[in-house]
Amino acid sequence: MATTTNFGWTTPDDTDFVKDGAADIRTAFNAVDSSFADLKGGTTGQALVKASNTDLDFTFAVPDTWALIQSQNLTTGTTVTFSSIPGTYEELVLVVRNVQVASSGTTLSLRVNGLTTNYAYVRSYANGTTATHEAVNAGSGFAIDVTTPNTATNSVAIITIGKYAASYLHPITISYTANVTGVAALQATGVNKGLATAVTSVSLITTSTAYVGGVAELYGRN
Amino acid sequence: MTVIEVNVQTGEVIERPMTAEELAVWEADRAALGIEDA
Repeated sequence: MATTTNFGWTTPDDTDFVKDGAADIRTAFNAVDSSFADLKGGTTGQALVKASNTDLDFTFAVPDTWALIQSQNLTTGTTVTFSSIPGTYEELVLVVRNVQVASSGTTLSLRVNGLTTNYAYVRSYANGTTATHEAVNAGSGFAIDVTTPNTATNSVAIITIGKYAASYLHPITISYTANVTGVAALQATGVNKGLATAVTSVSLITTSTAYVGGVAELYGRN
Repeated sequence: MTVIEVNVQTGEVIERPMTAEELAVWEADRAALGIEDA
């Protein structure tokens, strides 16, 4: 019996009887139908990905994508809070760009669910003159920048909250750099050790009297 | 001192004064930096 080149599907030989044609056609199409069974199904937003290295072994899955949940300019107020965050993503990423505040020598920090205690983290930061490494057992928030310059340009903080919708401690990491005189850089990782429920709000707090520039963007990763 | 609160499900943005508790924490954070009361 003849077979196709790529998939080995059975086809009639040139010398086979025409009376067997119906059965031969059925055999060939059944083989095709079986081979491509994994292409059936899926739903909106899913993509076809390989399930193994076996030929034609596919599955449907939501691609690893980022969705902008909300963006907010930092032009007024001392605290910006993103609230009512749905628990539909794998993790949250808060990107904070070009923060400018009314006065220098102040701090920028992050709090989750309005909590003001139990932030435990390790961090390293440098300003071009001094470098500090420290551990905090019970802080009032995660410091993003320990001395926010009031004229920072091209600064960016990337804050990741892993498994934020789960009912256990959520790992939080912060990476911050600012293009100011010298260097401003901070790297921190930790948890709020009192929070074992979903994160539903995140707040950016400045100890200056007001934000005067910048933007905060909250993303969800599928 | 004000809080900008963004409801990410409705898109509603409200501006409200800090609660007494929020204000106390904010002032404590400033005091820790040696900043005088606003």
